[in-house]
Amino acid sequence: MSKPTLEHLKMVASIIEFRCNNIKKVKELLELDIANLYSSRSQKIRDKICMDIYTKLEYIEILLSKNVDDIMSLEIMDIDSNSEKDKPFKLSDLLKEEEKYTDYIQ
Amino acid sequence: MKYSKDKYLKANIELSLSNTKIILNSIDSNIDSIIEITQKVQTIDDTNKSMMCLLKVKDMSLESVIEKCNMLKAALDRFTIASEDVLIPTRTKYEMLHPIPKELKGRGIEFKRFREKISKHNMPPMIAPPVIIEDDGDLDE
Repeated sequence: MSKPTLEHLKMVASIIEFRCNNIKKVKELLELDIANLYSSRSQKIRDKICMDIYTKLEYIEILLSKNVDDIMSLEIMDIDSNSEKDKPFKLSDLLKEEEKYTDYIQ
Repeated sequence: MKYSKDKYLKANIELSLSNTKIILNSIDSNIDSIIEITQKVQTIDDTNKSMMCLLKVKDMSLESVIEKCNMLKAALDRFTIASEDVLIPTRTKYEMLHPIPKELKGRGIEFKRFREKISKHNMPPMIAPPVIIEDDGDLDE
């Protein structure tokens, strides 16, 4: 696997920033919901507002987990590329070496 | 006893709501710092350094923001449990069907008398007792 490039990292960073701005917008809506929850007197309305808050929180969690997934995939790419460099032999090289030995024995 | 329980539940409601506000504010500050780091990545020209910044963003998202979202949910759960027991009274069905006259609003005893008066008027009229006239003998004259 190839090492992630600088452009790749910058692109992921800009996507994360975009998602974070969306989270901030949802957070403003959450503040409004909580203010309404405080002022509402009916139990039915309270339950409805609570459900709305839960769905908004789930949306925030989805956005955050998408951010985390993107960063983790970059991390995996980086680790794989480094491990490839550290390897003394590739599997194909090892097979070639083995073929050489068998030829020599025969 | 009931009064103290209600008082406790109401205090619980207010506490859970104020907690939600605090948690929301801290989520906001965390998101701000994440945005700052991502903006910093755009200016860095080193791959390793920008990778380190993104890893920091990942840790912050996992440890602070998602954890706080769960705390917010827990605070809301406490709120719903407390608010289910404290029901704020609304207008009763009887009041909706029989509205109190404007002039009697806020006067409990007078309203009671008003209802009694109405019920009396609806009763059938009482028959007057027969008058007995005594005979003194003057009538023959």
